[in-house]
Amino acid sequence: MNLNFLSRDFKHTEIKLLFITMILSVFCVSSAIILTQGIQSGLSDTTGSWLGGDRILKSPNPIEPEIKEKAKALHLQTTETLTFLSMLVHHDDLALAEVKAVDEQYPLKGELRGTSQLFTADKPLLTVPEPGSVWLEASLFSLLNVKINDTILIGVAPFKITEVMTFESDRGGEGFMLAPRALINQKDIAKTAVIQPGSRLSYALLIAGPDQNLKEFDAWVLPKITPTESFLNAKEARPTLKTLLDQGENYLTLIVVINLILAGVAISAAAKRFAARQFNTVAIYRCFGASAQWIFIRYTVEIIILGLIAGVIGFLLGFFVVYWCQDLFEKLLMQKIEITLIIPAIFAILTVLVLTFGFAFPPLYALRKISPMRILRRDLSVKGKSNKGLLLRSLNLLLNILISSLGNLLGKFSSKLNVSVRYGLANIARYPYENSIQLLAFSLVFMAACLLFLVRTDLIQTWHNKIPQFAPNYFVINVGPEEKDHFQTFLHQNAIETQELYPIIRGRLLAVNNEIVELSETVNNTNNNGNSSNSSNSGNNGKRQLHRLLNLTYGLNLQKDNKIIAGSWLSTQDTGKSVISIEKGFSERQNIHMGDILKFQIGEKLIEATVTSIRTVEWDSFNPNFFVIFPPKVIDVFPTSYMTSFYVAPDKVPLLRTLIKQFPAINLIDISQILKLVAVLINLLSTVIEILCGFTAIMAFILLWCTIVSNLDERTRNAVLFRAIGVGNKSLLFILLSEFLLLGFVSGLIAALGASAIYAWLAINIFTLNFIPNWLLLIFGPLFSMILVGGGGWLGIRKVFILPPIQIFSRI
Amino acid sequence: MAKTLTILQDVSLNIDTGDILGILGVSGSGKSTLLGLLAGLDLPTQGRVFWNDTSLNELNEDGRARLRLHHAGFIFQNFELLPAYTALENVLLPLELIGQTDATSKAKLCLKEVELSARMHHYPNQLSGGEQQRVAIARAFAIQPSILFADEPTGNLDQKTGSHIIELLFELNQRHKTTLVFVTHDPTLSKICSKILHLSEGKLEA
Repeated sequence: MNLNFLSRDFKHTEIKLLFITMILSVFCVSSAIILTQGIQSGLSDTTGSWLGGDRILKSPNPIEPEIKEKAKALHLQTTETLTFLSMLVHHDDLALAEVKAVDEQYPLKGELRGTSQLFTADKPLLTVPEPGSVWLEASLFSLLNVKINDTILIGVAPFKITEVMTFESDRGGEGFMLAPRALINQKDIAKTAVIQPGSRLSYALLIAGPDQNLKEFDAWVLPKITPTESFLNAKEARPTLKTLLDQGENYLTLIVVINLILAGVAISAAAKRFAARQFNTVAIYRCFGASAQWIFIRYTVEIIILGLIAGVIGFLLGFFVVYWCQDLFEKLLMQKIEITLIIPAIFAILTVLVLTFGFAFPPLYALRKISPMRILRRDLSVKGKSNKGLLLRSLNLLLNILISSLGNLLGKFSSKLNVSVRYGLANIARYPYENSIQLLAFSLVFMAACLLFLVRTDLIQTWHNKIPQFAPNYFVINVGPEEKDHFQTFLHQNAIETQELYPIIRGRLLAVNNEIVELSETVNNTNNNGNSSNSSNSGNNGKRQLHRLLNLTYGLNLQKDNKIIAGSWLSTQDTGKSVISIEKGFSERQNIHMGDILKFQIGEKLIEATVTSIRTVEWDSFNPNFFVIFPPKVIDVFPTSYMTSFYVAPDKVPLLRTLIKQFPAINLIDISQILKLVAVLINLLSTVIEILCGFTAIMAFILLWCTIVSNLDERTRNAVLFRAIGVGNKSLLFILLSEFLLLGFVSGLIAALGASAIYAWLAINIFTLNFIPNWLLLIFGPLFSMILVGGGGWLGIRKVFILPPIQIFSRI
Repeated sequence: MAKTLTILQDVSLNIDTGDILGILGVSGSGKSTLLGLLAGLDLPTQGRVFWNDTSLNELNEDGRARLRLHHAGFIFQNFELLPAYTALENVLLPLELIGQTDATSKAKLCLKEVELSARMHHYPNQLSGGEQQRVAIARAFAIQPSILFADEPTGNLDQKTGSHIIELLFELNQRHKTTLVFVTHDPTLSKICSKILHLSEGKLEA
């Protein structure tokens, strides 16, 4: 029987809108979740490929057997690596290298890339070096003056060079070191005889496997991590990735929340209007003897059936759209995306329940209170108290006052206006309650749309700014002071634009205000372009001990991506003074404040400096950045090397061979693979956001339409009366449009202001974006909403201009 | 504070089985309110209404609905057909509410009685005023009520159609032996009533 009722009620526009809104919201929620999950599954491979596995445990000591056993018990794949600094020897040539010994399982995720000839196109290497062979990074070839198939010595063991290694997964963009890489087989460690008591070694355990098992492993292993160890996942290990993914995930959440709010309001408006249309029907039911219970069941079952059908359709649509887009996403991600349906299905059900019972049901539930007497007296409405909350009532009252005052004000000022416009503006004040409800709904729709637009635009722009067209794809470290000028000349002659060459002086932080800093025993590790890495460690809550050496620099030029948050930046007056600028995260971890005195050991000498400024640094910017910066003429007396970054176009890559030959001591690091991966991620997230924004726009239009038609009957009735008494079409158009346009303008203005305020908060607190007020929104927002509301209003009421009045009356 | 408005005062009457009671009066005299009270659509602020021995005052809204469901039929000036329902579905409504087993065939029979078999699948807005009121009559008689309430059944119809509707209403009333209470401002209809009540400003006129 209820299906019959549903099919009959389905003739009402309101229930169709309610149905479509439900479908769309379930569609949006489920597609967003299916997508997010799918992408996360794909990303776990991609991000894992940045680390060589899903997790990495680094330790100065051999990895505890119980940790390896636990990973094995949880069916996680593992592989161990051992890294140590060693001098490579070829005849009379020597070069310091960071040697990594790996087994056949390495890497668990991602790839090794290499080539058999220097600076030729690389390819994935499907194995690791055979015992007795070594793969070297390009710079080692010139340092050692070797070629493929030559033999070098590592420790006491000879190794045959078999590949030029161009990329290794766990080296990434933010974890490279000062010495170039040599890769050998783990079986060869013993024969090198370089591992002696007291040797500085870095052991790493790479772990990969299903998310659930990894989570279990995380929970088990985290309490066991000692201060000298670090346990990181791919996201934590890579600031670039972390920022991107966090922002992407936050935006997807924002879309889902906005969708639900819009859907809730749209469904509430449609249900309210549908319920209002049912007043007479229910009165007839009551008149013919239907009980309140019967009415309750009739509408409850109907709305549940409607919700279920909409839920299934919405979910299937979501699934099919994601399925349809799967290819695109897989191409963008260069990874297989696994679509899982259980969690999205649960969310779809929850969405249906919330929308059905939270928004659609209340107006229909009130129908059971309709008096049968309404059949004789139409003025009788639903019995009982208003169920509007205090907040909504207060807001409504506020808007009510606003709209009345506005209408009256404009009415006074409009005495010289066209009489039709005056009538239209006066209508605003005539129906303050209805108009304030509409104003509230319009404002909400536009605010949601503006907010999504603002965040989307800035987010995508920020992402693309991360990798400008000619972003540096090579880093160079270890440029000696004597070759600095020649090096710059070389780049200049070959039209390779480079940034400033930053001096690097190695030093230790010994004390803060004479309080000795505890040192960790981890191997020196550098992040983002040569700086000592102190990035967050998921394994250690709170302060992490400082690494042995820091890369200190000096200069007066503040980098573009640095911002002073305390004190003032170094000036020419500071030249020669013992002052420093430090990075915010560094200051927080070491509990350093403005005015604190830091003691550094550089070589054999001690240097003290006062903190005069604290900076934020974008570690994910691919620019050289430093924790500690001195002014000139303080530390430049110490041995210095230089670093920089530059972009090399693909056709100029062979030039690098010459570069290495001319400057054999430099260490050239190729980060083009990392840039490619970041670009992939940015493209993927941008595409997903664009698609979901499209869905939300549809939802916003539906809500807009629901709101416009919500009191169209009253307007149509008045319009028809105007026509019946002889008002011409043009005048009538003025009356109606002036009302709609004013509503559109005010709601657009409220929306633009509200969205800007919310965006300011979100940008700073959630998305970590630079908030810049968008003044254009304050101009175009109201204009755009005027056009939409005016256009929608005209569409809704246009029949008044076409059909005879009597025909319209019969339809209302 | 809104002033209390007395719509009906000192109205006392009996309606016997088979009576045809006409309630006459000018607009605003309280005719429709009285009809609503008699039908149990509303309760008087003072006074009592009985159906046989059952006091409507003692029943809640659902109790009175139950009484109407089994015993009363209604015809209204504005027809009050459900616009989203076809003629047949409108007639089916009280039958479905009462749980009639062969509701559809019964509804079709009712429509045949008002000579609308050919238009049973039409929606109200596809029917003329007279046809709509015939559908309303068919719906009112569908459950074979013991009492039928009609609120100005010809008020929205032209004279010729109105006469036809009245003929049909009385013919069916006689056939089904239903008690009929109807409100009208047409004094000519008083001839066919067994009892007449004249209301003026909420009071019965002698």
